[in-house]
Amino acid sequence: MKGSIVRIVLIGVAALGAAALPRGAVIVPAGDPAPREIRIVVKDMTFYVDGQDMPNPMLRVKAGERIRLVLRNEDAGMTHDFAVASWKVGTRALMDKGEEDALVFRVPYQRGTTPYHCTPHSEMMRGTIQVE
Amino acid sequence: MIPFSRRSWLRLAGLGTAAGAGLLSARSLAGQAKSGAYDAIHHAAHAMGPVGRVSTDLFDPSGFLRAWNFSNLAPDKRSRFYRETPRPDGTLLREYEIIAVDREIEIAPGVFFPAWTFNGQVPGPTLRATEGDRVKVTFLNQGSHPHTIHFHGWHPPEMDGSLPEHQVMPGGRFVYEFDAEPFGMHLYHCHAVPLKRHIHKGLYGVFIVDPKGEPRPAADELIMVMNGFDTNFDADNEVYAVNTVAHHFMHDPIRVQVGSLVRMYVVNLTEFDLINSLHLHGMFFDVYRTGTSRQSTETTDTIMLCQGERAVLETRFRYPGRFMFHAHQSEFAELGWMGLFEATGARRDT
Repeated sequence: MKGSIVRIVLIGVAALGAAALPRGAVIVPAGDPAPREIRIVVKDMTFYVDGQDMPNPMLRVKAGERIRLVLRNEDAGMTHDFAVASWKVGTRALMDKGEEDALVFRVPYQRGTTPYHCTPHSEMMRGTIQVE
Repeated sequence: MIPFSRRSWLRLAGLGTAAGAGLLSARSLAGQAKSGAYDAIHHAAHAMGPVGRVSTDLFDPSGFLRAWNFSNLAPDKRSRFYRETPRPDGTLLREYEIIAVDREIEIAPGVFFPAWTFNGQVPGPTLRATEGDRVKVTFLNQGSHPHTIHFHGWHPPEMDGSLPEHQVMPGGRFVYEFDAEPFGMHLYHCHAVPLKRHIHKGLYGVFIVDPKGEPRPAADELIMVMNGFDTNFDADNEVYAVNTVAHHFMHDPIRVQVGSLVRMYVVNLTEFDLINSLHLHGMFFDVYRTGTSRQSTETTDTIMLCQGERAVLETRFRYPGRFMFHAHQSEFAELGWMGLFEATGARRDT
C-alpha cells in the first residue's frame, strides 16, 4: 500500500515534468556538470572497471559528485546487479549477456569508505567505494 | 479429422530433415535407392540429433573431458580456486574453492535449463588428489537455496554434508577437510533435500583419488559424466547427455590415438531414471568398478551403472576411424546421450 502511494506520487511528478519540460530534458540544478561515467563489467562472477584487470576494484569518487554508473553483464546465464546498500542505490538485475543498466546518483558528502556488492553473489562480488 | 499423434508429428519433422538432406542422401544412397520421392523419404539416412549447435563459450564438454583441479584456467585465475602445498610427509595439501551459483545453461540447441551449479558449470569442476593427500574445500553458497557438498570417500561424520544441520544457507560458507581415500573414481554432490531435485539441477561433480606409490599406467584420461535434464519439471528427463550437452560428441568426436591406452572415468549422475549405461562400438574395454582395485574384474562392451555408481574403463583402439558410444537405453541415446570417438594412427590388428 505504501509502495503504491509512492508510485502514484512518482507518476505525478513524472507527468508534471513531462508537461513542463521539453522532451529529453533532465532536471539538473544550475551549474551542476553532467555526471561522471563509471563503466563496470561483470565477468566470471567478478566486477571489473571496463578495460581494466583488477577484480572487484576500489572505486574512487568525490563527495557530492554525481555519478552515472553503467553496469554491463558479460556472464551468460547468470543474474547480476550492482548495489550500494548504505546509499540505498542499485541497478536492476541484469539477466542476459551484454545487457546494461545505468544508475545515476549523487555521492553523499560524508568522506570515507562504503561497500558495494552484487545482491545474489555478495560473498564473492563485493568491493569498496572510497569517497574523497 | 486425422488423429495427430506425437509419433506422426515426429514423422513429419523427419520429412523435413530428409528433404533438407536431399542432396546428401541422393548421393550416398545412389547405389541402393530404387527411384522416386517415396524411397528418398522413407529410405534416406535419418539425421541424428537436433539441428544447430550449442555454444561452447560458457562450457565445453570436450574441454571438460581432460580438465581437473581447474587445469582449464590460466594460472592467475586458477590460483583463486585451487592451490597445492607440499607437506613434510611428501603428500600435498590441496585447497579448493567451490561456489554454488544459479545459472541458466544451454543443454541442447536453443534449450536452456535453470541450473544450480558448482562454479557456474554442470558438472562441477573435477577434483583430483592422490591417496593420502589432505583435501580442503572451502564451500561458499551463493545460490538461492541451502546447499551442501557431500563427498563419496572416507571422512568423519561432520564432513559428510548430508544432514539438516550440515546445510549451508545462501550467503554462508563451510570448509570440508579430509584425507583423500580410498583411491578410486568417486563423486561429490549436494545432499540438501529434496535430494533428487538438488542433484538433478546440476550440483554434482567428479572426485578422483589416484593410488599412492606406483601410479596407474600413463593413459589418455577422459572424464565422462552421464546426466539428464528434466526441462518441464515432471520428474522425468527430456534431454540426456554425457557431460551435459546433448549430442555434443557427435559434432566434436573425442579424438584418441590408435594403440594408446585410453582410460575413461565414467559416473552415472542421471536422476529419475533407475539406471544408465555406456556402450562402445567396435571394441571391448576392461572394467575397474569404482576404480578401487588395480585388477580389472570384467571385460565387456556395455556397462550398466546405478545412480552414483561409477567405473574406470580402459581400452586401446585397434582401428582408425569413428566409433559410436552411447547409452544402450536407446531412448536416452536418441535424446542426446550419444557421441563418437575418432581414432587416428595406423591400424593394429592385435
